[in-house]
Amino acid sequence: MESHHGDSVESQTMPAQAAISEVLTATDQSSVTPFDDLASVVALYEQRVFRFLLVSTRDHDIAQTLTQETFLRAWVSRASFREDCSIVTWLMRIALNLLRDHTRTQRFRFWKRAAASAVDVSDVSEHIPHRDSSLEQQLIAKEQLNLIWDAVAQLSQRQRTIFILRFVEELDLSEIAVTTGLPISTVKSHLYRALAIVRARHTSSLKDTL
Amino acid sequence: MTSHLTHEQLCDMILARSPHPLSSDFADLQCHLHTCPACTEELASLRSSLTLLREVSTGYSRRQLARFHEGAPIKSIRSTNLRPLLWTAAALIAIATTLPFSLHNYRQPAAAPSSAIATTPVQTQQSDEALLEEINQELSAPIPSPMRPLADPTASSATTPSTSSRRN
Repeated sequence: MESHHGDSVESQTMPAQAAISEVLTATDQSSVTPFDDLASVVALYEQRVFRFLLVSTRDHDIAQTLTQETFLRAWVSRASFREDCSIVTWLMRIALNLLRDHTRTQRFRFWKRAAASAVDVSDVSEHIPHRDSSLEQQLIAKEQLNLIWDAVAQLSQRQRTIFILRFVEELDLSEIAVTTGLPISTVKSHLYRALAIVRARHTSSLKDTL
Repeated sequence: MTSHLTHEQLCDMILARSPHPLSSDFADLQCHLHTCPACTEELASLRSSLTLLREVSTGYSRRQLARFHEGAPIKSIRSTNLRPLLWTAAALIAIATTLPFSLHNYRQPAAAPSSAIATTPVQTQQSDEALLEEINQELSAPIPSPMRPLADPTASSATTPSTSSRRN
């Protein structure tokens, strides 16, 4: 139903499970939604939900907290899951709602400036794959990453969310439309604008290097 | 067809929403990409950047999640719910440390009054010492001065010159 895009599943999924294990043991196990086997759902999708929240917030503490809340809320409201969309789409919709609620507060904006857990591009650039072994190729890749990292930061909140859902989570436009509650045409429009900003950064960088 | 791909055409190709492979539009796009190095290079560069963003995000999030798994027991201490409290406590400590110094500086805004204060005791030092000496004598006296017996008035009149005698 949903695509996994080749992500390897983390074998350790204890934090999110531990947060809700007490709830699980104290409740009825007779329902038949996929979220009744929450351990399997967490094992399959925690990595993706966390990645989406991490790239969106650029703060690993906030991303971790919201990831746990996503699975907790998914389990609590599992009766409303009608299987009219994929599990990952439903989880992303919950994560996006939590993200909106969280980033809407002034408290988040204040603490984001001083957060020690904020993600910097230098932290992320350590994970550039070394398929190209030459030093020149690695420098080019680092420059590319700096460009797109800054460009994504320039996007509006909605553009950034849609951009990440498409190009990091690789959701289809229809899945993004379900996740965000927007028409597909609006999703496309936001993606065009976001790509225009990314293109502009690339173009200006090319002009600078020439 | 224009000299280069339009933004929409480029976006559609990036979004994998290019025309149907059997359509004439698709053939035109492919033909243009074969003959236009600028569009080909830009398309490849954008695709490469987007792929890089995804791979790096995946690698970084995987490592961070693994770290959280390893440090799960102490995660609650490092959670964002407690961080504002820790920051607030640090701010209060900093304010409590700096406030006395700032108040002290506020009460002594200029150096001139302090020099005036420093010069004043020099003038009054002698009188103060005399006063203290007098007090010490009062305290060390066996009989306080108010309780001392009065002097003999006759003796005083005999010793005093006869300035008070009437000259009638």
